[in-house]
Formats: sequence, structure tokens, C-alpha cells
Amino acid sequence: MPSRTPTTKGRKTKTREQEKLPVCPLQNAAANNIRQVMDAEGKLTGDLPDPDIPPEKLLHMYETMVMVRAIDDRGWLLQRSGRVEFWIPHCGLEAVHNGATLAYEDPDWIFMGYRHPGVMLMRGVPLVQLFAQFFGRADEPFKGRRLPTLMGDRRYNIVPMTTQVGSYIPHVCGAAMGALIKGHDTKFLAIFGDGSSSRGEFHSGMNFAGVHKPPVVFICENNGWAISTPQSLQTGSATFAEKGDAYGVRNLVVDGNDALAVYSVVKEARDLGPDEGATLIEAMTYRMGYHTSSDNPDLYREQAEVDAWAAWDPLIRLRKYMERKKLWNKKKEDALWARCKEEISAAIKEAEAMDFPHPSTMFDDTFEEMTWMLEEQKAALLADLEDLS
Amino acid sequence: MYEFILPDIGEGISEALLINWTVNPGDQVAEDQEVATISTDKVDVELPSPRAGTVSELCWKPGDTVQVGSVFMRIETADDSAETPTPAKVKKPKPKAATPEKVEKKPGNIIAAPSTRKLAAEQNIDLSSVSGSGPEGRVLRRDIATTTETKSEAPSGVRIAMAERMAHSVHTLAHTTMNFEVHADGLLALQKRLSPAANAQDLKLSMSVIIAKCVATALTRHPRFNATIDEEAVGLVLHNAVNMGLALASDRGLTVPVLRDVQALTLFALARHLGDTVNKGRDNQLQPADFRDGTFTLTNTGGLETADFLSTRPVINAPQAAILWVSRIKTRPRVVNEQLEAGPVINCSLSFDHRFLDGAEGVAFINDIAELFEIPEQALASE
Amino acid sequence: MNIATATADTGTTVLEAIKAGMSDAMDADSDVILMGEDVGLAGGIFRTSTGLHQRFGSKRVIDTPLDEKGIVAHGIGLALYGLKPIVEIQFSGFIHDAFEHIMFCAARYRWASGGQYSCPMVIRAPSFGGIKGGFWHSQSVEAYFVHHGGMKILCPSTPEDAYRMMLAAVQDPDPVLLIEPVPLYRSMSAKFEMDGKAATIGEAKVTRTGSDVTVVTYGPIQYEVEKAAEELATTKGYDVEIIDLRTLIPYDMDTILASVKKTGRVITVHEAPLSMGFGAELAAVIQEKAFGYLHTPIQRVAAPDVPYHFSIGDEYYRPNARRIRLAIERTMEFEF
Ligand SMILES: Cc1ncc(C[n+]2csc(CCOP(=O)(O)OP(=O)(O)O)c2C)c(N)n1
Repeated sequence: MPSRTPTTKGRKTKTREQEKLPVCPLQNAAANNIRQVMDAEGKLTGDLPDPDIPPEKLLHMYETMVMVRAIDDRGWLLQRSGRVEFWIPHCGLEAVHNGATLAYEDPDWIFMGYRHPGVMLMRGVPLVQLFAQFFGRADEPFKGRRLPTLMGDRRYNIVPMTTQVGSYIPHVCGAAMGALIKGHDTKFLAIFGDGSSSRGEFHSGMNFAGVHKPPVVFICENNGWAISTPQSLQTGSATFAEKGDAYGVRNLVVDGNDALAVYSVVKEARDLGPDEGATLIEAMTYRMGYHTSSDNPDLYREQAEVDAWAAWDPLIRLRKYMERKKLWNKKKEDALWARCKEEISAAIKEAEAMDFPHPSTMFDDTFEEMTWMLEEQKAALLADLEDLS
Repeated sequence: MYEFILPDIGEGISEALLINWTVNPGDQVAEDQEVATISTDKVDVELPSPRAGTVSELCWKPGDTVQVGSVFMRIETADDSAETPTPAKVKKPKPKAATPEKVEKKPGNIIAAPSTRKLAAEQNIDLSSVSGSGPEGRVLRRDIATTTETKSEAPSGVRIAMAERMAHSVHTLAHTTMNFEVHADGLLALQKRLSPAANAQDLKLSMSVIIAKCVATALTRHPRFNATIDEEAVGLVLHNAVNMGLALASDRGLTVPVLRDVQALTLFALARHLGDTVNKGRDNQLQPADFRDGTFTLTNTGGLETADFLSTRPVINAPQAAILWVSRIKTRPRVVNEQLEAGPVINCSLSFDHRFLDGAEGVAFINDIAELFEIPEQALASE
Repeated sequence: MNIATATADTGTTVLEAIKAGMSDAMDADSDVILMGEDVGLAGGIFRTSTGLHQRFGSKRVIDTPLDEKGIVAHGIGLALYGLKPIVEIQFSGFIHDAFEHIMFCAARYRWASGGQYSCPMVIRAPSFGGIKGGFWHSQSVEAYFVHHGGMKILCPSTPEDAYRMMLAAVQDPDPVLLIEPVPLYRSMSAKFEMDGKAATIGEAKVTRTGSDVTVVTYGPIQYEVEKAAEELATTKGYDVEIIDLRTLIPYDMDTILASVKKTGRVITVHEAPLSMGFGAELAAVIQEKAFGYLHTPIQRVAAPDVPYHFSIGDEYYRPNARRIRLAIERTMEFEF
């Protein structure tokens, strides 16, 4: 291995059009055609009206957003100290998935990605279940089989993402077509990244959606990056939303760091009439953290860009909005953070003490009823483990 | 005591450079408090403590390269439940036995390994007439051998292995055999002279030992006979060490344990070595390794002969390239100084693979063997 | 050669060897280009292409949109036009989107055009388990790609092989799937001369000679085989011969047969699932061509026919030295 000096690895030197200081596009939302309720200070300056979410629901969303942020802070450290094997950060993306989940009813189906733990929490999944998943323990819905943060739970109508990003876009569309065919009024939501829009599945999903008009909201969470790939290398179009035009799918761009705006546009799209079909919503946001614990963003992005987005932190904006409405204050804020941290510590303690799955469970669920082939392989494996203490 | 194991923080990181510690031994650390900065070839990383407690040992110095999976630091924790986690807490499984190969033995349904079938075919044996003694009535090689034996006890695997090797050798190698006779007065005299000294050391100086030593000496002079055949390269691989296979007849069949480095052993060392090997063979203690790496085989049926054997056609122990058979020493008519007289002679047959060794080489080799048998002291004197 | 203890003085890691192979190939031929997700500034998510973007520029080191099908399919177009693309699939678990283009386009252009067109290109597929990757990041996908001809498949497991096979793959006139050993990327290093010499495709290597039993394997799992062989040599005196296939298509029949005829006992080991795996093909062809030499049934050691489990997969799904040892013992103790 080459000799290594203890410095930060290969900080990216200036390339591309980054001569001037980066500006967060949310600052010029109107000019950029980005739908918005509030500005960075939580003031109602946007083109969208205040959705006036009832205080109870609003607080539930905000508290979940804080919890989600606290989970990311803690999850990162757990990975670095070797207690969790892998981590996919979601800091900065809280408004998108929490705002969207709030706009949906519990019987509705949500297809979530790997940066959206709030979807689970908003619907009442216990915190310890999330940590059991992060720790790969047996007693969680997916039985320790999937990488940390790749969650879902059928009891809450939350479908897990597939292994390949974006593969589930046509799945959502198909499921929604199913509801149409059966005459159900179940609605569907899918959240995926900007990178996923490059896959054929995105185009197939949009194409079917344009033709069949299923009740789906597709949220393309444009967090600026697909690992190291910026928008300019992902697509030649000015927005991801406008791809919907080609397929006859209603579309718009929303301020993804404005939970109220996300809620508003998703709610409106969800509540469209039966013939009005699907909506593609591009949520402009920013991945403040690493792509995953295996990443090193210093190789490809400027800290100044991250800083520009930090001023538009979705938690701060919503908090300021609530403070203006006299729904929130510093005392409540401090108490909330303290409670979140405490609950997380308790959940970690409980989840970490749980058992790992037994090797024999690897074979379960491959089929509804195990084939003789798997029975035989299972018996052989267990026999090989026999004298293993 | 909690051992903080250096984790793989980036899917396939194998080591990290320790840049610095941010705690000292004796410090209190909180859970998740930063304790060190490390550098991997992917990224620089601040490592948080997995447990709260007192730092008891920092196992590495800044500048050290630490392997993933090694103990990074030790922390004295207040509660004992915080031990180092095991990689997977799995309770001992209760296994069912793996399904064994189940075959029903029906009339006409013969169960046998392919190589066993091949062996049977080569010996013209109808397998359906053989009763299998293996699991589920499988016909084993020893069952085949039984049918060819008149003796009632089952032949051993040793005999079976031999059978196959011999067949292979006969079918593949271009066997050429040369027979010769040597006066054995010198061999007998040497044995007589050295036996008292050997006995004093609890050794039996058998004729095999002296003959083996002479042959080893001849082989060092004719290295192309101390060789193995490389069928792929179509050539001989010559060897420095004389690893001599000594064919031992026993009631289990013929075994050929290998005596290593015979050229380098003194006569007495060889005697001891051979004695040990014979004992091991008798006690069934020979290991697979004792049969490997032979470079030449010496076969001596002396102990079994009653009739006068003048020659045989020994089968080469492939991949070796040659084999020497020697008879018992016996008194036979011979010509000395143009006179017919009775005296001790030893009969010999050398087989070699004519694909790689020619007749002239064979004659030269035999001449040397004969000379060494006549004056075996040369073998003791040569380097 | 040194597993898990690569340090500064033990030479080149597998990862560096791959990079050097690409870099030398690109130096030697300006038609060679690299294309894939995050291969540019980030140097690939494993850092196998660190520095290549800076050296060869964005025309020859191309960061693509997130689209495996597109990456391979556009690679095919480049190849048809005479360039020599090396396309990277980020993890082999994501290769399947490109299946149609790999198997039914790249591997068939030559045949289907009556020999007029061909697609010499290299498809890099980082594979194998042991990095806590679950079924996202630890897949062994080779069996999906061996079903018909048209594409060669190489699988290096040492730094030197990684380097020379990269060169061989680039020089080959047909499409080549290069299955890269992720768990060895950083953990294995060796000294050798990076002299621009390409490996010979289709040559296996006997990595350990023995006379009792033949283990045919490939990929990083062979080091588990080695551990088992080592252990059995001391505990039971079994003399295990190990063959690293190195090339799956076309595999080295001669080396396999020579060994099987010597030992009469065969075990195949891979970390892809058991059924219809590469081991099954080997077992079939060995019994066809060396039936009479077999003393024992051919055994296969492989992963079960289920996905790679995240939390216990490395310990229990992926075959290990222990399971391989048990298989060898069963074979050796089989009476024939
Ligand atoms: C089909 C496929 N190719 C590659 C990957 C590896 N990979 C995991 S996440 C990721 C980037 C995804 O980007 P995006 O869709 O924008 O989502 P983000 O991670 O930014 O939230 C990639 C390339 C994958 N999971 N699936």
C-alpha cells in the first residue's frame, strides 16, 4: 500500500463551475419554480399558503423529524464504533419523508427508500424495532436479513425498497393499478432518489402511470447527489420533475426542506380525483451527510455547498414557524432533544441485547412452503454446525 | 473489561493508520465520546467509544498500522454486562442429521464407486456376483479382491491400492526388463564383519539394508534412474534425494514404504530406519506420508523364496521410472576363473520405462550395481 | 502473498493491481476507456480507479448516470465502433439490469452478425462476500452468466492475477466479464513486476499439490480451502490438491482431469448458491470424462439457494474452512 500521510483524503480541488460561492437554490425558490411555504426563518413568504396543519399533527411531525435527526447522529457513531455494521445517513432530508407521510392516511401504501426512518416512526413503529433492524437482530420484521436502514413493515403498509435503487417505481405503479382495478380507494406513495431516475424502471413507471393514471405520488428526492454523481452528470434536463411532461404525468418541484410545502403539495396530489392520475414531485433538498459510512464526500464536493444548505435546515425552519405560532419554545425544544436521546439510548440497550438470527432461519421465507431442496440444504448446514459450540 | 475491536468502517477496510488518541489511560470516557482519529485509504475517521468507563489501555501508538479486528483499546466498564460482543450470538443449533445417500439394494441393482467398477471390469469380474460389504450393500474394492482370492480373509485396502497402481503402470509404461546375476561373496562378508558391531547397538544388519545402500550409491551415479515420470511434460523429473521404496511383503499384501534420503544415511542409520519402518508396517502404523515421494523401488522377495528364482519382470511403481528386484542369496553353480564351482549368487531384474531410458543407460547402471554388490565397501566409502 | 496483513512492505494490493492494470491498458491503447458510476473524481466506491480521471480526463474516464443497463449497453455501442470500453458495475448485485445487454447483445453480436461485428469489452463485477454486505453487496453472480458462450469469464484472486487478467481482458477480442474479489481488494497484497504482460485466459493453477483429493475452486473462498487443507495435513495427514480455476469460461479441463485421475476424489467449492452452480457443471463434466477414476461421489460445497443474509451471512451463509474441512473428511472417509 502506498505510504499515507495523516491528512484528509484528497479534498476536491475546484473544478466545474464552482468559482463563485455556491448559493442554495431554495433562496430563489420563485425564480427557480420551486413551490414553497416558508423562508429560511420560517416566515410565510412562499407561493403556497400555510397549510394550517392541526397542532397535534404538526407537533407529531416535528417531534418525529427531531427524533429522525437524533437517530442519524447516533447511528453514525454506532457505525464508527463498530456496533452497527453499516449506516446510511439521512440528515437534512427529514422534511421530505415526514411531510409526505403526514399527507397520507394509514391504510395508504408507502414504498420507502433507505433514508426515510420517519416513515416508520410517523406511523407508530416502535423505536426499538428500528434499532433491532440496525443491529441485524432476529426480532424485527425482516429478521436481520437486510442492511441497516433498509426497513419496512407490512403491518404499517410500508413496503421495503428493493435491493436495486429505483426498481420499485414500477412496483408502486402496478400496485396502484391493482387498487384501481379492484375499485379500492387506497393511495400510494413512493420515495426514491434523483439517481434512481436514470434507471429504466423510472421511465417504465412514468410511462405506465401516464397511460393508466394510477393514484400514486412519486417523490424524486433530489438531494443533490447520487453518491458522487451530481445532477449535471445524471441528467441533461433542468429538473427531474419535467421528465413527467414527456409521459403525460403531472409534475412539480417543491422545496424539500420545507415540511409544510412538502405536506401541501403531496396532500393535494394524494387527494386528486380518480381520473387525475399520478404526480411526480421533485423535492429539492440536500444530503448533508456522507452517502453511506463507506463514502468520503471530500473527494467530490465542496464544503461551501454543504454550508449554503445548512442555512436552510428543515428542522430549524419548521421550529421557527412553530415558535411564531406560539406552539413551541426553547424549553420544549430542549426537553424534546433530551427525550429523544434518552429514548434512543434505551432502545439501543434493549435492541443490542437481542439475539442474532439462528442460522436455520436463513432458509425460511424463501418459499411459503420450503422445498425439499432447501430442506436438504438446511439439514446439511445444520449438521455441519453440529459440534460448533 | 471491554475490548474495543477496531471495526471495518467502510466495507472491506483491512487496516487503519492510528493518527492520534484523544483520551489517555485513566480518563473517564462517555459512550460515543471520541477517542481517536484513524486514517484508512478511503477516509479519515474519528472513532467514538462504544462504551462508557475508564480507559485502561491504549493498545497502539500514533503512527501504528492497526489491523481491522484487533483489540484497539480496553475500557474498564462499570457494569459487567458490557463485555465485548461476540460476532454472532447464536444458540447451539439442534441439528437433524443430513440426509444420507439412500440406495435400495434390489436384485440386479449394483452399488459401487466408479473406480471400483473399473477395477472389476479390468479383472473380468461380474459385479452382480459380488456381495457388497459397504453401507447399503455397496461393493467395495476389498469385496472384489475377495472373489479373486482363494484365502478366506478379506484382503486389505493396501492390496487394492497396489492392484490399481500396478495395472496403470503396466498399461502406460514401456516396460523393459534386464536380468543379471552377481556373485554375493562380498555382500555376505560385509554382513558378517559388521553384524557384531550392529548387534552391539541393538541393530539387525539385514541383507536388505546392505543392498539398499549399494543401490542408493549406484543411483547417485545414475540419476536418470532416480527419477519420476512427468506424463504431461513427457519427460523425467530427476531427484537428488534417493527416496527408496522398499517393497515389504506382509499378510496384508505388498506395501512399499519409502525410506528417505538413503544416499545420505550411514549403513547403521539405514538399518535402524528400516527396522522402524518394518515394525510400523507390522503394527499397521504407517501413515500416508510414509508412502509418498518415492523415487525408485527396490523389491526383495528373499524372505519368501524357496524355489530358485532366476529372474522376474518387476512392475514399475509409476510415476517412478525404474525398479530393481533382487533374489535371495543362494548357492548356485557359477563360473570363477574359468572354473565351474558352487558359490553364493544373487539374481537381479531391473525394469525401466523404455520411453525415457534406453538400453545403454540400463547396462551402465547394472554394471555399477554389480560392481557395488561385489565390493559393497565402496558404498560405505562413497560420499 | 499475505492475507489480511497487507502492509506497506508486502507489495501491491489487489485493488492497486486492478488500478495498475487499467492504467497500463489505457496507456498502451488510447481506445481503452473506463465508464461507470462514480468512477471519476470519487475513484469508484472501492477506489479502484483513484487518480485515473485526473490522468486520462473525463473523455476516457466517464462518470455515468445511475443506469447499469445503460452503462453496458452504451459500452456495447462504443465497442461496435472500435473503442475498448472497461465498464464498471458498482457491485455485482446490480448487474442484472444489464443482463439482456450482456448475454443477448454483447455475447451474441459476433455470432448473430455472421462474425461481422464483435464487442470486445470488459465488464467489471466486484463480487463475493465477507464484508458484511448482505444481499446488496456480497453477491456471487457468476452462475447467471455461464449458460451460453460468447463471453469469457475471469476471476482473479491474487494481485498478480488481477493485474494480468485485467490486461488480458482488455486485449481479448471477445467480451469479458471480470469478476473481482472485493474481500481481497485491500486484505491481500503481493510483490510482482508490473511489466505489462497479460495472463493467459483459460489456464487454471494448482495452488497446492496433493495426492488424496482434488478441490476445484475459484475466487477468495479458495483461501478458506487452503486453511482447511493445511489443517487436515497436520491433523489427519490428508494430502489435498487445490485448483484455482482462474478462468470460468473457458475453464481448464486438462488441469482438472490430470488432478482427478491422480486423486480419484473431487470437491468443488464456491460461494455462489449450490443448485445449478458452477460446481454442478464441473461435477457433470468430471464424471463424463473421468468416470472410472472416481472413488467417491463428487461433493459440492456452496452457499444455500437463498439470498445472502446480512447479519449472519458472513458466518453461516458463506462457506468457510470448517465446512470445507468437513466435506474433505467425508470424502476421504468414504469407503470404496
Ligand atoms: C441498480 C443499482 N445500482 C447501484 C446501486 C448502488 N447505489 C446505492 S445508493 C446509490 C446512489 C443512489 O442515488 P439516489 O437514487 O440519488 O439516492 P440517494 O442515495 O442520493 O438518496 C447507488 C449508486 C444500487 N443500489 N442499485
